[in-house]
Amino acid sequence: MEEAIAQDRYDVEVRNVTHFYGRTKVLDEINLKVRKGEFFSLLGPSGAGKTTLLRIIGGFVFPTRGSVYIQNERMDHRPPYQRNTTMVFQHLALFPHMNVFDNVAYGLKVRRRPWQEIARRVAEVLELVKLTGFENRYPKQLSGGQQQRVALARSIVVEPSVVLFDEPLGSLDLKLRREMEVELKNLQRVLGTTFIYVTHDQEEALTMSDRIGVINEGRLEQVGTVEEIYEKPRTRFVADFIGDTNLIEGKVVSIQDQVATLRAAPLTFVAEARGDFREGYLVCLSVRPEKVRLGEAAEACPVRCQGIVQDIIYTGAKRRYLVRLENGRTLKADVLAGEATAFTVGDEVSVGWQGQDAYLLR
Amino acid sequence: MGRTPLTSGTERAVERPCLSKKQEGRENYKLTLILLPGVAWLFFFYLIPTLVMFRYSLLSNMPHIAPPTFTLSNYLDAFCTTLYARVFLRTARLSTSVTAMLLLSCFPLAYYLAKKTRRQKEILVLLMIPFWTSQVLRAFAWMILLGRSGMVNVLLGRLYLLTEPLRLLYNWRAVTMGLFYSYIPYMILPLYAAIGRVDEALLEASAGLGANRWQTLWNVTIPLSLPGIVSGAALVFVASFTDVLSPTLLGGPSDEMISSVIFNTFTMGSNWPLGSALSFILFAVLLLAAALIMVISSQVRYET
Repeated sequence: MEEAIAQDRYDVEVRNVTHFYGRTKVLDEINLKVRKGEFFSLLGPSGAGKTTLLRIIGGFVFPTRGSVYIQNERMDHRPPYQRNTTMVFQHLALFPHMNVFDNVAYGLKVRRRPWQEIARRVAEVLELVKLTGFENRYPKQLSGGQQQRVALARSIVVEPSVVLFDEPLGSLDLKLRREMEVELKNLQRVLGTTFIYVTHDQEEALTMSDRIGVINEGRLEQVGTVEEIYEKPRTRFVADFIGDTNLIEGKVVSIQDQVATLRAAPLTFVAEARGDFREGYLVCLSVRPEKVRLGEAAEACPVRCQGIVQDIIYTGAKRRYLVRLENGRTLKADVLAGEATAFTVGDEVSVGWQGQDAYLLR
Repeated sequence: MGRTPLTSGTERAVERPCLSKKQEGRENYKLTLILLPGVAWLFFFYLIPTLVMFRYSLLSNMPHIAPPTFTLSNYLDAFCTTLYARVFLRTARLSTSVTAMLLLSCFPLAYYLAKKTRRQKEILVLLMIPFWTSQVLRAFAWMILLGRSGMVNVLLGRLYLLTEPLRLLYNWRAVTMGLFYSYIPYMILPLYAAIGRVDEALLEASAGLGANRWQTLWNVTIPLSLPGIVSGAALVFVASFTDVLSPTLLGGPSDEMISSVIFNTFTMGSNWPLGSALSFILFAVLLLAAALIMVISSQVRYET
C-alpha cells in the first residue's frame, strides 16, 4: 500500500519489460514511469521498438518478461478492452461502415451508456475537435485532417486515463501536421489526460511533449524534459538523433572539476564532462552547430581552432557553413542570416565556442 | 545506368496515356474476340433452349400427339394445383433452413481460417477434396452410410445400442443433411474471402475502445463481412432450391422438392408443356429472390 501511495503521481509504469519477436529481442529491460496528465513522447528511429512498447502498454501485445502498471494496477494478460486506455492508430482504423457519430459513439455504446448521455458526450467531443455538423459523414467523405479528428474524438470520448498515439499524423502533409501538433497539445492541456505519443519525428516530439523517452535498438537511451534531452543528451545516439550536432572523437588527456581536456590529434579541446569520465577514455565531444562561432566572434571564445570554409548552405533564416578543421574533420556551424559576417568558400576562418557549450559523451 | 533505345521505346509504349481512335477500334476488336466464345456458347446452349422451353410452356399438348395450340393453361394449372404450391413452400423452407445452418456453422470455420491460423491453404484443400468427386457418388456414399443395413446402423447394432435399425434415409432430415454437405464450399469460400478482407487494425481499434470479443464480432467483423455473407447465402439458397439429386436419392416420396417434381413431369409424366411452365415459375421465383438480395445488399454497401 505504501508503494501505491508513493506512485500516485504516475499513470503508467513499465517495469523491466523485455520482449522478443521469435528470437529477436525488440525491447531490452525497459523501465519507464509516465506522470499523470503529462504529454510523453517515445522517440526513436523506425524499428527501435517504440511501437511495440506502446502496444504493450495498450495490451495488444503481452511482453515476454516484465509488467505494465496502469494507475498502480498490474495489467498482466489483461486485454485492451479491460484497460483504461485508448489508442489512436497509425492508419487511424476508422470504422468504414459507421458515420462520424457512430464512430465516436462506439466506445460509449459498447459500455452500454444510456443514449441521452451518448448523444450529449459525442456532441461535446465533436465540438472540442471542431467537427460539429459532420455527424452523418462517412470516413471516406472526410479529408485526412478530419479523419484524424474523428480518430482523436473516438479515443477521448470514453474519458480514458491514458491515450496512446501510434504516429497518427504520419500521413498528413507537413503544414497540416504542424497545425495538428499544436491542436493536439492544446487539447491535452484542456483535458489533462495522459498522452503517450510514439514518433520518429524529433520536431514533432519537441513541439508537443512535456517529456521525451528516446529509444534505440530496444533500449531506452534517455528520459527527460525536452530541454534536458536537447541540452544535456546522455549518449551519442541522443545527441545525434535530437537536433543536429558535431561529434569529435578523441581521448581524455586530463580531467579536473568536470572540465576535461580532449586530444583529437593534432587538436586539443576543452569540454564539460558530466558523469563518469576518466583519463585515457576514448570519448566523443559534442557541440551543436548553432553554438559554433566563426571569424571575429570566435576570437573571443576560449576554445578555438582554425579551419577552411568548404561549403555554404543557405536555408532561409540561417546559413550553414561546413568548415574543415586541421584534423581533417568537417564541422557544421550555423550563423543567423542577419549577423552573418560573410565568408566565401576557401576562406580560412577561426572556429570557436564557449566551454560550457561542448560536452563529452560516451 | 545506360539506356538503350530499345528499352526507352518499350517504356514509351507502356506508359502511353491515352489511345487514339484507331487504337481504340483495335482494342474493341480484341475485346470482341475474347468475349465471342463465351457469348456464343451462352447463345446456343442457354438462350436458344430457354426460348424453346418458353414456347413449350405455352403449348396445349406435346406436338407429336396432336397439333398443339397456344394457351396459358399450363401456367394456370401450375398455379391452381395446391400440390405444386405445397412443393414450392417445402422447397423454400428446406433451402432456407439449409442456408441458415450453413451460415451458422461455416462462419466460425471461415473466421478461424481467415484470422486464426497460418495453415489456411492446407485446411482449405482438405475441405475441398471431397468435392472433387461427383455429387452422385457422394449421395450414394451417404446411402451406404445411412441405409437400413448401412455402416451407422450396423455399427450401432453391433454395440447393442439398437434393437432395430434407425430410419436414417428417405426423409427430410437426410435431404437437409445431403444439401448441407453438398454446399459447404459455396458458403465457406465467400465467407473466408470476405472475413480475410476485414482489416486487422479495425478489430484492434474496436478492442482498444473497450469492446469485448463478442461486441467486436457483432459490431465490426460481421457488418464488414456482409458482402461475403450475402453472396454465400445467395449461392447456397439458389443451389439447394434447384437441387435434384439430394431429394431424389436421399428423400422419401413426401420430400419431393420442386426440381425433382419438374424432372418427373418431363420424364415420367412426359408433359413437357407443364414442366416448362413450372420451370419458368421457378425461374421467376429465384429471380425475385435474387433481386431482393441485391436490393438488400446495396443497402449495406459502403466504401472501404
